[in-house]
Amino acid sequence: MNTVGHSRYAVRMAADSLRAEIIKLATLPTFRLTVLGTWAAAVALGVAFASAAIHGQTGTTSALDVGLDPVDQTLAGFIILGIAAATSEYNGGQIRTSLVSVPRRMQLQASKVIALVLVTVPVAICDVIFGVGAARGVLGRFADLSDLSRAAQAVAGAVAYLTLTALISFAIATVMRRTLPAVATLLSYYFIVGPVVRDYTALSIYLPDTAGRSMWFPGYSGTDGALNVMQGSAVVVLWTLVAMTIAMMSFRCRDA
Amino acid sequence: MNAIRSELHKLASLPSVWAAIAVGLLVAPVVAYLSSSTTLSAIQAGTDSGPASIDSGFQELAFGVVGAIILGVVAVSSEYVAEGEEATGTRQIITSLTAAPSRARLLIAKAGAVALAVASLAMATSVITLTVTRGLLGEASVPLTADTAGRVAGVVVYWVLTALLASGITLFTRSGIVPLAVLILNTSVITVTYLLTRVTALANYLPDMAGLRMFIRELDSPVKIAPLNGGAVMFAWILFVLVAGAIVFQRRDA
Repeated sequence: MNTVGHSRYAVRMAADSLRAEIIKLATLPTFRLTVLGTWAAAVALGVAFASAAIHGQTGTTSALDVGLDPVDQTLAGFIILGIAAATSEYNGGQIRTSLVSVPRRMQLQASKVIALVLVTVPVAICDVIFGVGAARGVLGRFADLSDLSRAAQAVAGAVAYLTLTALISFAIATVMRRTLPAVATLLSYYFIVGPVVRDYTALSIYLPDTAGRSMWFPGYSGTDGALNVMQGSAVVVLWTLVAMTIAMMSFRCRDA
Repeated sequence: MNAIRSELHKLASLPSVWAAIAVGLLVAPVVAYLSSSTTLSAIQAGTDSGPASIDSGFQELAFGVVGAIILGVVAVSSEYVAEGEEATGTRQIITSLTAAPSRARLLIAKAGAVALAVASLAMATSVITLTVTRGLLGEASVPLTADTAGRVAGVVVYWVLTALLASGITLFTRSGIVPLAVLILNTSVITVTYLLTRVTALANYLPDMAGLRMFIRELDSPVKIAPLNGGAVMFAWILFVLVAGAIVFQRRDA
């Protein structure tokens, strides 16, 4: 085979492998149910937060600020998406079938990561829009959505944060290989340990969850020793890269 | 008795259960250490005149319940989902029901084993957490009274009921993901049920909001519920979920 033919073959291999991973994600029942549950939660929480805002319990009636609040809880859905994408390979030895089809481990893993990003970004965009939309619907004429550039920036930050967290979860689950322990570990960190540590230690601004708040939480970035949007994003990206590198190395070296 | 013993054996041989116990034993004392240190330095700096909040130590035990949640979920989900690299989808529940064909007895034994394990865990964690708090705060801590013993009992009941709630939900879902997600999310610093109390006063009667009254004294809510009533409300919820779960367990194919 000449060089041109060889590189064409490599490109087709990569495209096929990526398409296969997208099909795997789309046909995973856990994945579909999690997406639907996350969206439903975004709408329900958007309504709940907006109702609380009308009663004057949140200190703001901006549809954007109130509507972004559900991101905090629906993050759980994205953690589960990342985990499911990794651990579904380890039930009943599917990973060996995958490796027979795509023997290059790094290629397989790269396809998985790209497929996860391609699927997660639209899910996250809908998640954020559903939350803000529900809040806007309840708040009605109280809603203030005038500043479109700020809205776009906050939505983009939230989508990036949700996607990066899904990638971190994917990386950790690739090392742990089991669903429940990974779910318990990551949810306990993001929902219990992280928020508690945030209140008591200054260094927590560099942890993935607190740094991530700088990316989307209204009025958080730049206050009170918190990182600004760019710093926060850089820290979360760095955490993602570190987690992903460890996962890749572990996947490359360990028995499948 | 044999059934409970074998259920306890099953729990003790699950690595996830030991992880849950470690989480339960660690979370509350570590958070108590962090928060008491912060309070102590505020008192020493003169920005806080003391004494510490009546809920110091107990507030942390409300987070620590995550260990009980994991244990309650795993006790049931391990019967249905075999995880591991060589797992071939074998479901332990088939073996369990062959050994103990009465489904009601199996379920009661399982609930009993979970309750026993979590009660001991809650007791140990309460003692450690309160010792950490008192050790750090010294004179600034709230004095020990008969009420403290009652509140520790409240913690134990709250942990046991929460674990049983986790088991009950898992009887419906069989997979542990949903109950873990729902219950861990709702153990966070600001819980979904707490937010709901801002929308409707009825949310104060949800299981966790009612159950917390057993040991938290300064709950930020206009609705006052006496500790025993709160416990009774939570108990009624958990009984309802468990009975519904038991009916599903009786009727559905294993």
